[in-house]
Amino acid sequence: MVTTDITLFIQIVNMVVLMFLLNGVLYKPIKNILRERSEKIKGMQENILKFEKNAKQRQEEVDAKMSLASGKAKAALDSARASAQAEGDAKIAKIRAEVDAAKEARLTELRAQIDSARTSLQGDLDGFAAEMAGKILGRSL
Amino acid sequence: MEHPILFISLILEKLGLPIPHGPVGHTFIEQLCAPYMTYTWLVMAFLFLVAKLTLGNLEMIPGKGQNFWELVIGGMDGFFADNMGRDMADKFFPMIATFALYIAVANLIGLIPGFMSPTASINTTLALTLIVWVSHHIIGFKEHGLHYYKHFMGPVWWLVPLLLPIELISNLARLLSLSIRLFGNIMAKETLLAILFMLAGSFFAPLPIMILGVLVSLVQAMVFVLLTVVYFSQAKEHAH
Repeated sequence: MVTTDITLFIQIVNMVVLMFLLNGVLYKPIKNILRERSEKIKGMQENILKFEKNAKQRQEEVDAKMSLASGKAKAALDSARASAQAEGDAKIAKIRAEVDAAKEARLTELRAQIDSARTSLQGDLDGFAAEMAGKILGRSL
Repeated sequence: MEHPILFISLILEKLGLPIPHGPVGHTFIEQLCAPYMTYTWLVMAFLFLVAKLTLGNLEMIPGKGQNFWELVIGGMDGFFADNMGRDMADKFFPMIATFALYIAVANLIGLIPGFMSPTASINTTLALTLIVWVSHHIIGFKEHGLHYYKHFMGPVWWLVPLLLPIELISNLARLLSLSIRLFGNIMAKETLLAILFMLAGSFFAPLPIMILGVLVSLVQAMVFVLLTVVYFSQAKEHAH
């Protein structure tokens, strides 16, 4: 039962043959697929990192553009508001000047009419006084 | 170990081939037809065919067979790399993994009636051990050149006369410990099962021993592989 014979060497050959057989049909294909998968996963992880980095960069760019656009919009709004204010002021000043001129012309006209009325009334005043005195006295002056 | 109903031996006998009726054969053909030889070829064919049939087209998303082999081979590869380093693991993976699979299957088939564990023969276990023993010395000489002798010299020069014989004996004892441990355990399991089958097989007497046999079969395969890995990594290490 514990006798060794030629089969010891045949068993060594058997083991070497089995190593080559299993290496060909089992170990190599499985190790290759495991390596391929780990490389693929590694590549995918690199891509994920790259995409994350790109997304972050894009977000930063968008934020910067948004901030720039917001600044520009604020400046444009301020400028439009200032120009509208200036234009409004100018229009108001023009209207005020026109109104003042019209008022002045009207006043001048009114003054002239008052003077004319006063002069006319002053002229009539003497005749009216003489007539009143004649009526009171009962005789003509 | 002789079994009363080894079906391969029965088939070969029907074919007119000389089957040894003792533990070993006397002529060359008888030795070739010894049960541990025929069942070794059966285990080899089984491993080859199972590997071939379960691995059809390898895919990135594995199927059932591929998944099983990936788990087994990936697990062993990681274990060897952790203990011997990536280079050694890549170089010696086919050898140690073959030992692991062969010993595990060879130990386990003995639990099926009509089959025999080839590892219940010293010729099989000594063959495996010789491969490991020679390989670990080749690794030592390749790694350290002639300075490999320092592994056997002990830590200080004045202890050399004491430690050199001890180290040489302990190194040669590896041949015996690796081969006889596996052979002894499996032969004991086979003998015990055969006796229990003959005595009270109809009362399921061998069943508890068969359950223990599964454990022993797997543990012995693991011990053989573990010691192989330890010897290889020790041969690569620098001498103290």
